[in-house]
Amino acid sequence: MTTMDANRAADIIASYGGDAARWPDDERAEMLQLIAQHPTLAAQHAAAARLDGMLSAWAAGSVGVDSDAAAAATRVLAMPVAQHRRGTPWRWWAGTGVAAAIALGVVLVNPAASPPHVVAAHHQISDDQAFAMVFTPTLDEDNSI
Amino acid sequence: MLSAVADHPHDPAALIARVAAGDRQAFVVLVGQLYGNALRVATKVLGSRTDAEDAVQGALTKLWTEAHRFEPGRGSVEGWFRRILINLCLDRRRSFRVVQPLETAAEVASADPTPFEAAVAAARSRRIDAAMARLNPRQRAAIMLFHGEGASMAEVAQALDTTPKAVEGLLARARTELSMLLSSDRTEI
Repeated sequence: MTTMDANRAADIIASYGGDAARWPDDERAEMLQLIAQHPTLAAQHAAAARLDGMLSAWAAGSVGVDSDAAAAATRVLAMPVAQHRRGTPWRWWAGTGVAAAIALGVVLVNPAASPPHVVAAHHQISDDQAFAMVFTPTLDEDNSI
Repeated sequence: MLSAVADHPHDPAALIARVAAGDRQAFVVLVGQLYGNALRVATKVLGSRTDAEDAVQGALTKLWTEAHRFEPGRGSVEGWFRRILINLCLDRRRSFRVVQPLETAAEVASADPTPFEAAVAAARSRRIDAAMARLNPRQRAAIMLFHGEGASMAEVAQALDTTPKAVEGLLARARTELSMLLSSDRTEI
């Protein structure tokens, strides 16, 4: 049970409209009592009912539908893409496998395509060697000293 | 499940189970049940027959390709399909244009010669169409589902991927806006 007052009743009318059958079940009886007691609410209720009528007429209005459902279904069934997208996990795995095979082929054919750290792993040097490499002058540098 | 399918071969839940298994005939029957109403809802939400046909075609494609995703325990086939359709309609909102400005609606002459009462009704209908075109597609969808389809607040919320409380607010704002639009020059009706 909710706390019903005129504000809540006005909110329900504003959202649900004037048809009491559409109001929340647990608030309907109190709503009707309040509307009977408050002229302002009664006016809102009447205005909402008028708008309901217009909205129902709008919603029910013809849109010139030629209900050619069979043709619509045939168009969908004729679409090859639709069939390709059916729930077939093996296709996804097959696609992933092809992509992996291509990537492996690229690496084998062209080792330069491998990430640098893969190549460096075969040429590891000690800290002393690295220090010497950086601070040992080249021949050109030696000559210029 | 199998006995239910055998007992009610045209029941949407039974049909969609067959569609999920690739049964083309079941798909045609199910489309026959859903198509007319779907096109009507989409046309009202989008305000364009052409856009509506595209949206419905997209929804039917999803019905065929994603039927296996339907979960009977979570609602009806109609509700599931309606959610797909409304989502596709709302996805098209960027391309939506106001088809008929409200100011010009009262000036549009009826195409058919009609008696006075019918002409007044036709004019009112055009004014409502024009007022509805001023709302955003989400508001139109909520009104179409609640007032046109008789959907509950919870069902509208499901179709719009939101909460019933949010739909209450959406409908209240839409109705307030419509009331203002329709009362702005009511004397011209």
